[in-house]
Amino acid sequence: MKKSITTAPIVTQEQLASDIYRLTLRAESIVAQAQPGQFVHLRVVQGHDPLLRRPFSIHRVNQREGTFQILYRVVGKGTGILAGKRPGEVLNLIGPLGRGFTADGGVELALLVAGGMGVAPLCFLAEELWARSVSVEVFLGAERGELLVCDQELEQFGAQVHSATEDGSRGYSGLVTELLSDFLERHLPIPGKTRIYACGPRPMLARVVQLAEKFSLPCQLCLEEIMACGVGACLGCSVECPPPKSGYKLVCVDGPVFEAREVLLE
Amino acid sequence: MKVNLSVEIGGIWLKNPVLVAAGTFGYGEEYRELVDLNRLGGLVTKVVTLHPRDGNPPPRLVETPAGLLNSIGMANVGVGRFIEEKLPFLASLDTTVIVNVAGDTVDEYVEVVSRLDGQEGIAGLEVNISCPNVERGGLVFGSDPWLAFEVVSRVRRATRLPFMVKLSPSVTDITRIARRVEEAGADAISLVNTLVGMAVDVETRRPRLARVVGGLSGPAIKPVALALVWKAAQAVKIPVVGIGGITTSQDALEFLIAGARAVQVGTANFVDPETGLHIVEGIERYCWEKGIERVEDLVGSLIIPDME
Repeated sequence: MKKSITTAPIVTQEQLASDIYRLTLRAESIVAQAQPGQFVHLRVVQGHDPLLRRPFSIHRVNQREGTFQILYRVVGKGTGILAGKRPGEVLNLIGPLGRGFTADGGVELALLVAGGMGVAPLCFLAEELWARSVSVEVFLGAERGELLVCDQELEQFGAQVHSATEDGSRGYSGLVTELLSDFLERHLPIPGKTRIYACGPRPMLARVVQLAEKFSLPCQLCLEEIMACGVGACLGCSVECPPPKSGYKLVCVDGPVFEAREVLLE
Repeated sequence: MKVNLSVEIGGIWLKNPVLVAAGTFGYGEEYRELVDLNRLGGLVTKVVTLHPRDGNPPPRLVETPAGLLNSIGMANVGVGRFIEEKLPFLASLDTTVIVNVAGDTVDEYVEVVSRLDGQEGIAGLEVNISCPNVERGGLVFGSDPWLAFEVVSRVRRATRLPFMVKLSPSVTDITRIARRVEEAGADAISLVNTLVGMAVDVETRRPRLARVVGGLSGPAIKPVALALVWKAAQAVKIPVVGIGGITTSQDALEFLIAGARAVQVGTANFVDPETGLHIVEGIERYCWEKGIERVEDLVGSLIIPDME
């Protein structure tokens, strides 16, 4: 998979919630090669403030149109500037980057667990799995109802969506991992044919890994970390590895997708 | 008129005066799909130490206004794996390869340098003396003129490769360190390494870097670096390589005019991996427009009017 530096015009910018946006960009080179779980490294200003690029998972691709989408929440300066960009403006980006999710031929059931903006890369994954006729159950969690996004799109891919909000304003009242736990208890999915894919806050991922181990299910995690280069040169985006290997791996090139046992989350 | 961009740095020939700085370009392969490495004047590798180093726990990076704090911790595969796994690709390039080296003790510097001596593909070394000497209670080699002299003279005796010594900005008098390092046998000096900085998360009241303090780089430090390059260039006869916040050819030209014979681009590579190439083009354009036939003629050409 070849990565490149590309300038991509903005096709649309949609606001999905008070601080959640979805940006559609045209970039044939990205769309042709992107795999679910990969990301693009975006430059949001021409100048030095903010200085660094920002990484965003590839949320969805449209091969026919040659466009792809990123889904993001405004959390600081970079994302704030991004939210102000309009169709026609052009963004400089590097991509596609990183190692994506994998699903070998034996997978029949995929359990996708999304915490907050962790839903971003999982939509791309859901669409790919659906195209391969894999059954998809999505567990979608957010702090409150208005931050729960993409449930309708996921249902369009034929996924069963189970929603949870911490304040109970939509769906189940509680944590998305409680929904997952409940599902696993009731259905006892077959380890050889089932895979868990998760993306979200680290405490959520740690709980997912615990559940995966309890039910002997292979599990892949999509991590995020502050990045400078995005290509494995600066060594800034490290994640700790468990013994006996120990040491660190890089989220930008060894990840962002890791097997659960490859990384130490807490 | 064709502009001659080549420069010579203490026995290391460069096709143009723009290198990429240690720690920002990995070992070359990481950027090979994005940048034509052969158009760079030179590539300084990520540091190589005697033993492999895992580096520091995360968080290792904090963005600051026009800057970047890092505490990577000199993570690297160690000299053995460097020679076996990283050097072959570097040797295949048509750009000058300079290997950055460091150690916890003087003996470690000597050992690394000895192992690299005679290896194919290495045009020269950059000796990083901005690390703490664990035998002297963590005193940074580059902050003490005597320690700096000791490590450089021992390295000099251990290698025939030309080398530049990378100086720390966190010193009382850069000219003292620069002169001692020159006396000890350095073929050139490069400066500056990062400045010491930190950031605090006020919600958690914790430092934003796992190791509390780190190195500051990027446009924010350019004026500091430029002043130190100017001072150092007047203090020594050996060539000076300028580093610190260079993002445009204008920045690079400032350093050349102030006394640097070549420059290194670091943090800017993260923003635009082709920064080095743009700077080479910009320097060439400037020289052509001004009728300057050799970029070397610009070096140290700063005009300071007489003060009454």
